[in-house]
Amino acid sequence: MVTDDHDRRRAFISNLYQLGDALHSHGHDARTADARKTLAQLRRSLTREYQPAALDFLFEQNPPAREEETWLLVAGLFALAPSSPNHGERRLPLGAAMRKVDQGASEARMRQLLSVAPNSVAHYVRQAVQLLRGHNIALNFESLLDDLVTLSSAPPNSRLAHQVRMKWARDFHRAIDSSVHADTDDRSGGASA
Amino acid sequence: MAFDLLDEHWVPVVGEDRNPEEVGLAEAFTRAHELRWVEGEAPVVTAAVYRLLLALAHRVYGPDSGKSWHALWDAPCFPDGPLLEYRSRFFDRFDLFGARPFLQCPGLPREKMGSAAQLVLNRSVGNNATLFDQTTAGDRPELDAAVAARWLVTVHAFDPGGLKTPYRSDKSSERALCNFFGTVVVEGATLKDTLLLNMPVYAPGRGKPNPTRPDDCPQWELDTPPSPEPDKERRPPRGWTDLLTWPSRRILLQESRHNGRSTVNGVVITPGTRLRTELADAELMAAFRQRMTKTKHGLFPAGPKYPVVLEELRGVWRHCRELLLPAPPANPRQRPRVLDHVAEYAPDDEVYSLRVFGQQLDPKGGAVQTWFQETVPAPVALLRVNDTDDRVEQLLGYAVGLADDIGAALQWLERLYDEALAAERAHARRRSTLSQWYWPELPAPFGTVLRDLGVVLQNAQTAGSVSQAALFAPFEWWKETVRRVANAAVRTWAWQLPRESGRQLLALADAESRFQSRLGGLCRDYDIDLDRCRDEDEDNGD
Repeated sequence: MVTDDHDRRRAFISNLYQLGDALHSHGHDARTADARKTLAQLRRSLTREYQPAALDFLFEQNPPAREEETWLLVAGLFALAPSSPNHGERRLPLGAAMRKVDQGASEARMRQLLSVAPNSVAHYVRQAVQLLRGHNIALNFESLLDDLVTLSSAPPNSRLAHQVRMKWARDFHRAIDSSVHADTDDRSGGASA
Repeated sequence: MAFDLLDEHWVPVVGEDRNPEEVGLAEAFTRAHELRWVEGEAPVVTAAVYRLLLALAHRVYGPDSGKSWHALWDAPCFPDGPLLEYRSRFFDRFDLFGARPFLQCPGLPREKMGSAAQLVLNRSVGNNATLFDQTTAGDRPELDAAVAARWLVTVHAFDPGGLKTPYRSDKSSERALCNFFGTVVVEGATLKDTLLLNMPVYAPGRGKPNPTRPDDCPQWELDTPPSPEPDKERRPPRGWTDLLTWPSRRILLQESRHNGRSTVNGVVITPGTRLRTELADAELMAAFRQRMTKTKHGLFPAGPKYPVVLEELRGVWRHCRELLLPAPPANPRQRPRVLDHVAEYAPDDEVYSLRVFGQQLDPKGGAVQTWFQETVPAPVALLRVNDTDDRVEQLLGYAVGLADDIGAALQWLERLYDEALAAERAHARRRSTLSQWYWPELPAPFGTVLRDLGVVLQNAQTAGSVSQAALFAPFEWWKETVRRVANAAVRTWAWQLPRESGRQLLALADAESRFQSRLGGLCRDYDIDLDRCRDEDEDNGD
């Protein structure tokens, strides 16, 4: 069931976030060490195909069979940038997060990410996540997982795949809108017939 | 061989069972109460046949007073007596091929006879290249007499301008009358209702409808057929039926007979009579509007009155104020004058349809580009809206303005996208496509607004005052509808675009995001306008 899958994804991401939080849990050295170990295993799973510990963690989360690969990818991506948002901030969806990075670099990467074939998306998302880690920007992995699941299951040029990529592009520009385009600019094109 | 248009079947109608059939002119009246409407092979044919039927109906039935109109309206069918009497007087004027051929000029030389295809406006003849018709200059098609009769009437009303075969030397002709405006027909449940709804009081002796003179009559009643010489000097119409059958061209059909059946295998069409009149003063089946000019005393209508015409994409519903609302003095609009008696005589709770017919010519005015036929609901309560209650006009204006502004914003969105990708699209042919998913979706919901408004106004007549919440509700619904339609149009448009590269997707998202911002602003402005209208109402109430 869709709802069930959705709930399972939420629970999975919540567990990932808890792993991230455990990295900074003071006075719980054993928990911190476990978290660090698991995240290292997950991180390695991005480059090495068979990582027993990563797979153990994955199957504990009870993923739907058709989503296993994507869950493992997202777990690895989270392990790359597990930091939590700063106080008062929130995790940003991919497009908006990329916007927060220096514009020249992020726009080029965003263009690449939007252009690539579905089987190359993982590589470019990984680069994007590394870029975000460098700028200490917390990514919303919940929406990233939803999007990647859609991209992995929808036919390459389908409306669903297009919607995901458009959502990333829109989020990227929505951030611009609030910062660059003043309302007056928007209304300057002459609206009356 | 005779082809008597009173008896031969050539008027295209839709019967009670909704099946198309053809009837003679006499039968069109005797069975008008059971026939539904006229439906020609093209919108222009329908409009032209309606005008001919109205001219004949006026001459046969008048009605010469409001009382006569009510008597006809209340009668189950058109009475036979006046038709028989008229027929006995003009029995010889309705033959398509007789010595006095119907709406033709027998004095035209037969050696100038050309292809019968000239008669059919969408046929490819000479320079009139059309997209789908495969007729070539060498073809000599033969038209069935019924078809030829319909197009004969249509050519008088809708023939494009340009050079024609000259009678002697004058080749130039003005486009025929109905090319200048959208022809409005108020449609009722039956053909009888429709004819009466479009028949104001007709009393030439008393100058009704203005400016009708006592000598007004349609072409076929004149003692002599028109001279083959074109009337370049222009003349004013004698009255309403003269205008309804205006002889824009001199035409002569050539009959051919096959197995006892008449066909038309040739036609001469030469320049005809030019009209000299202020169209807004004479034409009853068209709406007009005037420009507003700013003076130190305020805004006032000034300059010529422009007829409402149909456009290729944006519907005629945008002119709902010009088409439906009564115009108090110093108002820049004028609804079709046939609606004035509908507003006065028709039952309160009726909702009629305005069918609007039009023809668009190419930029030179010499060839048909497209035909239009649109429908706008016309609740009688709205036709009667109190002149002093200008809120209805304001609200309709805001509603149309919102659709126009959002339409312009959609064009702006397309421009933004094109500019962002100017380099890679430099060689691509730029064609505006977004509007095609927006404008055609709006006539139906706007019809709902008009019908709902009619119900509100009718209830107000019973209750004695308009419920403010009910009055504004259709316009609030309209805002949400237009917003939804615009967003759906953008989604469809975006889906058609190339979306392989990230640059394209980012350009699209950027343009779309800015459009959303503007859309929100336009909807907020609309809300402010509605609120101002509400406030004025409360102030007046205080």
